[in-house]
Amino acid sequence: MYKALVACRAGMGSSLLLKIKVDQVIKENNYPIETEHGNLDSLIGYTGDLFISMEDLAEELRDTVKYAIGIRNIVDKNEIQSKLEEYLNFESNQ
Amino acid sequence: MIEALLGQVRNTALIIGLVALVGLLLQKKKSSEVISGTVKTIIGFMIFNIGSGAMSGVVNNFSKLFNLGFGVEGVTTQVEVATALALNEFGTEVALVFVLGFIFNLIIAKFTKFKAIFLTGQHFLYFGAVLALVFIALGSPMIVTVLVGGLVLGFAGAALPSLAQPFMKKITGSDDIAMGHFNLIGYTFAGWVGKLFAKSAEKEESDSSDVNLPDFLKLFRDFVFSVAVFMMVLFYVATIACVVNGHMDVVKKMAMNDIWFIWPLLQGLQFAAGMSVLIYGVRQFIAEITAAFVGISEKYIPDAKPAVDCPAVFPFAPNAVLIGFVGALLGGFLGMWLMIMFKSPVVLIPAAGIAFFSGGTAGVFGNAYGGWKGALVGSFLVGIGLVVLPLVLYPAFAQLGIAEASFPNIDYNIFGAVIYAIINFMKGLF
Repeated sequence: MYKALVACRAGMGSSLLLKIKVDQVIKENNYPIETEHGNLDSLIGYTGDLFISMEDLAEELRDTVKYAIGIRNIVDKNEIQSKLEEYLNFESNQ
Repeated sequence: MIEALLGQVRNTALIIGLVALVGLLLQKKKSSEVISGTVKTIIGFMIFNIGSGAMSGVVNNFSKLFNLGFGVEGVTTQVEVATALALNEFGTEVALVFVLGFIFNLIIAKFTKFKAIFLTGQHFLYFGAVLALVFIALGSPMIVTVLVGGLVLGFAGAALPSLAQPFMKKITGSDDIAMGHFNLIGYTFAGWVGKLFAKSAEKEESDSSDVNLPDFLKLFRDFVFSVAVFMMVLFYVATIACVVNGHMDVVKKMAMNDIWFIWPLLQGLQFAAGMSVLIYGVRQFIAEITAAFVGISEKYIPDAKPAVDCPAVFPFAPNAVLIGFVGALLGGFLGMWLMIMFKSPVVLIPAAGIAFFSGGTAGVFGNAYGGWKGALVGSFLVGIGLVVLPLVLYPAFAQLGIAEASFPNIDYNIFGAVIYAIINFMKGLF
């Protein structure tokens, strides 16, 4: 089971919806991923496997986390699904 | 006994917990999830209160210093503090308006052509606080406050996002999300201002993404950091004004020691610390409620459009966000200067968080057609509105004891002021 942090700058509205959508995709596809929700401060000392956020923020933090997924349209489940699959492929090739 | 029960009803944390409980039950969650979700929601609200206590303490100090140093009443446009004050005074009314607002939003989206489901829970709460205060200030009985307030809130949530929708389509390139942040009148205006620069943007082929921004500006993308820096600067300005005007004794007394020049720095950081706690609390109590709202609307109103918080548009024009932040701050300072020039009895002071989120979004809207010029001018004008518009309702709210902070966002103030004016006028007729 991989651990993912879904977060945005303040950690209120937009990342919350993103988490809801990510959870829906995970459930529909039975991905081995567990999510939690937070803001930028939650990244301090974060030991999980994956960071999911809006595209601009994910780009900025790419070097500070193990793996970052940036979503451009936070309600687009197809985008979320293809990026999660990309991540799972990456992990299985490790 | 009845007295004691009614006392509990005034406890906003329990009301919010009850909403989460109903939401979780409607989603048919497991009983363990229902219990933990409800308890966490109530705790979240209590954490919110602890954070807001810390923030209002700092805001209190700041207003004292500012008033003494400049001889005018300074009020920060910090929506979190204003909402916390409103919840302390009128918790039950605000919470019920908030809950009914959600229900009316769902009903209106189901049966009218206004299809937005407003998912930014904390913003719904802030708007609910403004509406409750407007009706209370007009002396309405509680049932009117709650019912009419909830109806107006639900209507605003379902209908206002459609104003900005043409611009949202242009920004995101699709029509599946709406903007759910109550500056929609302002954002639409910024988008429209951007159109004025469309010709020059096309000629130069300038999109804000071509502009190279200095690296230090990027620091301000961290919300809590920029709030801390901004409050520190404000505190130093107010403290130095006090010292220059010969009130050193007051400053030393408030700082409680002689090294007074470190104190403003610590107060700024303290404010940001309070903000962090408050956000943590909001996150906990909004999470369950939003999830319920999403669940219900996806099930029963499948053609509805989710209206989401402003960072959702940030990936589409990251540079415009920073240009918008700077533009809104400059606009805010101009507005503040105008209030001082025209000897306004109160001076509203821009807040960093609002300038970042609202200004940034105004920047993205201005950029859509007008490039970086549209982003800058659009957000600048919105920034003026963010500090000047609250002047209209401030006297009514101050009478109710909401004096240390004020509600900045454009839609709240326009809606609130119009309702206040209409009902006041009608009351005069009878």
